[in-house]
Amino acid sequence: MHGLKYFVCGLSIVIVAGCATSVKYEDATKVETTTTDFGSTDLQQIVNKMVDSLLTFPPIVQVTNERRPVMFVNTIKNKTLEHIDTESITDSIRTKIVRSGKFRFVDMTKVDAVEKQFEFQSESGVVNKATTATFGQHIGAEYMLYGNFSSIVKKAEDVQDIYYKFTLNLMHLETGIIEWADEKEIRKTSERSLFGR
Amino acid sequence: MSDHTRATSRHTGLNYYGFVVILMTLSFIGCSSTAGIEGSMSATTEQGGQTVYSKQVVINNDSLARDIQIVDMKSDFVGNLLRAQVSLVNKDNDTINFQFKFSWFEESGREIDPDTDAWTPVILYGKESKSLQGVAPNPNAKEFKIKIRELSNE
Repeated sequence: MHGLKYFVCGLSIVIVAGCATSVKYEDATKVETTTTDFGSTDLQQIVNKMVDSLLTFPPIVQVTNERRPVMFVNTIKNKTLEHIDTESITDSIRTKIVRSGKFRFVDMTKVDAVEKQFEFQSESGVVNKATTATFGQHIGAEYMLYGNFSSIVKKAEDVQDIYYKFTLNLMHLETGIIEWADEKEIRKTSERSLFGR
Repeated sequence: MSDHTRATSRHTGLNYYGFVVILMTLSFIGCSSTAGIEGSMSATTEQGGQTVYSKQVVINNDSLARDIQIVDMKSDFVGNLLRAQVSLVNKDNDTINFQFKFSWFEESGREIDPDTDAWTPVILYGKESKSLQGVAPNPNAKEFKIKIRELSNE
């Protein structure tokens, strides 16, 4: 009986010892369900769906087979109740599109920095004139990527349901035509368990 | 030792055994396998210009394979991007929550951007069949692999 007591005590110590704080690296691509708030898995699902849909849409396939059009990303309007960094979503979408080799991008957020660099190259006298970038050679964007991100939240006593809808549009700047659009819907629920009270 | 004391001791002993069993059961709950099912398909262009496809399914988790079956794998080219479609069926009557991810390979076998595609959660209702689709990250992809795992915290 004493042996059994020691075994139980030992086992309990081993289990309780696991409660100490520990740090470990995790898989950044794993499914994350810590809370119902917007998370990495939602971001990754949105990016995958949007880029796959854009690159396989027949009229876009036709255009990108012949050339690599230039586009720019406008803002994604965050209409959800959460604080979400929508620029992070568009950054990932842009990176995936660029890496596909199908489109090229101009970055409107860096216009000021580029202007300053031009000024420095042409007016500071420090830069060799033969190597300065020629002003007025930027390529104008042909398409604009923009969208909305909204959510519907419903709560009952022990249940919370969140529905996210991410909409992305591609507008042809010259004609104003929306050449492509798609949506990604995500639904998550959380339920407070009996032991979690 | 009186009869009463012996009876109490036996009773206490049973409690210890019960406690040990419950403790060990609780310890092992949640230890689901992280192995899964892998399906791969390659597209090889032969000298005559004909594209030949070869498929392979590897089962590393018999328990998962009893519930989910890869029924078919297809691939085609949209423009010059490889597009994959994997058809699954739930052989069970209950809903299954699982996760999958695609990996993409060049003709030489080199993986394109390893570890960039994320695990995607999927719900498959009882006896339901579903298609999972993926598009290669760039035109160099000629082969894909799909990995299917149980949805766990690991």
